[in-house]
Amino acid sequence: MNPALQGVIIVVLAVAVCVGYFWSSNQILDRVIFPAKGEKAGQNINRANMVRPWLFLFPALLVLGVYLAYPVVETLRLSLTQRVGSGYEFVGFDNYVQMWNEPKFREALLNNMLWLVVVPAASTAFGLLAAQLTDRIGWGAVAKSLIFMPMAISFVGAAVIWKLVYDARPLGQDQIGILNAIYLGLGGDAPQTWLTIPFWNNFFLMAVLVWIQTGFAMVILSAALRGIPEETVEAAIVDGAGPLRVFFQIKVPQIMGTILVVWTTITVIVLKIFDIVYAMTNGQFETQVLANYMYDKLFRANDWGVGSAGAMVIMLLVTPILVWNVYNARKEMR
Amino acid sequence: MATIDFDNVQKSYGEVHAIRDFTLHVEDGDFCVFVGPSGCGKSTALKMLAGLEATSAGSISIGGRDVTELGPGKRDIAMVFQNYALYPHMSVRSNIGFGLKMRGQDKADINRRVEAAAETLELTSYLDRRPRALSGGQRQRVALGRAIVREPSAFLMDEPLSNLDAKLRVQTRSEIVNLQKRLGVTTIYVTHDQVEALTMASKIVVMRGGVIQQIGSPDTLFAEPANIFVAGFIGSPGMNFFRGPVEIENGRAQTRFGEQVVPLSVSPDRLPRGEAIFGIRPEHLKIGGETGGTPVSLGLVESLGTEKILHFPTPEGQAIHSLQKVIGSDDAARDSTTMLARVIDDRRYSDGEHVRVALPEGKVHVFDPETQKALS
Repeated sequence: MNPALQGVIIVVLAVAVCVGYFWSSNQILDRVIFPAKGEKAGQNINRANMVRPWLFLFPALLVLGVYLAYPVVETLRLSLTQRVGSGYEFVGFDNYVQMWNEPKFREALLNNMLWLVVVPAASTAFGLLAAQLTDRIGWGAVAKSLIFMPMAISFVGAAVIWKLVYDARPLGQDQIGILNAIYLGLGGDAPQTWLTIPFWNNFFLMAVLVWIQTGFAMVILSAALRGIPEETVEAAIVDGAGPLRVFFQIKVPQIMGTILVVWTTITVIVLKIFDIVYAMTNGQFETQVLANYMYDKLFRANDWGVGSAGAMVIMLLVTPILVWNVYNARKEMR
Repeated sequence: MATIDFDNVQKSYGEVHAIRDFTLHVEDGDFCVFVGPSGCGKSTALKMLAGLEATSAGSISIGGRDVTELGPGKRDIAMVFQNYALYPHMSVRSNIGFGLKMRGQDKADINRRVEAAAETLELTSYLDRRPRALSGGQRQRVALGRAIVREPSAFLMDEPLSNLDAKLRVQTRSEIVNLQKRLGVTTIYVTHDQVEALTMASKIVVMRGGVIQQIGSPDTLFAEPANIFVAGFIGSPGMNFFRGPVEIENGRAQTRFGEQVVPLSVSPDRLPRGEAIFGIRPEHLKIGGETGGTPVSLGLVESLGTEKILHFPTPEGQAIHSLQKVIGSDDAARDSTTMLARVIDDRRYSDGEHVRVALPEGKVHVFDPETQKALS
């Protein structure tokens, strides 16, 4: 059978199953368990309505439980065990200690910190700048869609594009990497293999993520800027504030909540950063990050214990930021 | 302190003319109100004075200095906005002091002046609160404080009372007038409410469709409206209008209102041949009496205690059916076939009652049916 046809059938079938589930479960609730008749009709209706939300939530809770909650517990368990001959044995925090003593892990931790500081700050700042500059300009919408477009490219795709940007050809050949072309054009002596220059190569990798996330920040912040009451801006202008002061002292403080949400959202993405590093350097030349370290341990070295420990560290770092982010986002919505 | 001059100012958005031939002189210390129905261009005129909108042609000067090309911050004016436009992220103190800070005053000086302004407006105990923790009236006072603390040469106010409830509006109205009198700062005030205009202004500019209809003191506008629009707009309820013949009897002009012959104080040679539009204020109509006037049957009787508004039909054939167009759709409640009389007496009137209505001599306004201008 044609795969496309198969896909269509699956979609139709899946929707039918969902409809069937919701319809029949509600029927059972209303007709069999708490029928809306007889002496306790009123009480039954109230009870049925209390149970009903759970009927709708159940499939989502089930899937989340199996694919999210259970793996977390299992990863935690694996991180406290090590593989022996026939199975696993409990080793306490040995995996964590071993990991901590590995230079590559510390390098990953430090690099992650660096990413954490640079990428959200740069993305938010560029996004805010783009949002402000494209506001109320005729061709602003075109500029915005151009800046937003990288959001539609997968991290791996973006990594491939940027690898070409950083590409180096021997001296004398045409440089297809634009960075080397510019570098030589400005009088550089020899083409550089940018991604192998320790420390700075981290920033070349970060540029990719900043390129992607700026569009996201811009769209959200642009909407927030539009939400600022025009009169407060006019009042500030009459009060004698120049464009910069209007921006930094009137506009930015009024959208601070949104800026924080954008910042923390990007922070979470940064903590999980994997694809870009994997596709561009694979953690060589001192560019290792936590997620790629975890992947190395888990699927290359087949050391499930240490790999799981790495995963737990990432989760522990992400959780507080995520909680804070959700808290702020809710506050913004109110 | 300054005079304000608009010299033949125009504003157009493409083909649409928002303001045409706007020329106005405001004396130093005047309280000048721009009034008119929504969309008449009054707010646009104010924004051009503030510098928030560019003029398309003409010039504006404040205190004799041409400010047409100057930015709002350099015009030495302060503005109070309809929605107060307080900075939500700043305390009341910073809100009031922001303009001074932008002008680079030193901190101690700012603090002293902010506290003085707060004292004037009874805001001292709220200085460290955020705007959202204040009531509507308090926010309004903070907005005023932000204006007065700068000691500008003019205050511009854009419908500052429209977000307050009715009682507070009346109270704040007198507070603003007193404040303006004490400070003596030239003030331009925009409103759509003619009662506000009449009670507050020393000079009123009535606008409609981007064109000034009449400039004058409240008394002038009330007693000598320049055209039908102003006559209908000013006063509550507004003036009654009816069509009537122009007759010359023994060298004196007269018209008829129902059965009544109404002598006119306008000289005959100024009147159009045939017909004219006449106006009479509801409070000038005489109700009652056994003879004289014309008999009418009362429609609705609205009682406000001692004051009563009596509705009665315009005499047969004297209604002006194009009236809505003339005075603007804003006054939708007006019905050209009904006239209103405002009486203050102890008599009880009932719906359907027959009374005699008389138009006293000298209170009837005459308007040209073509140009709608007042004739005198």
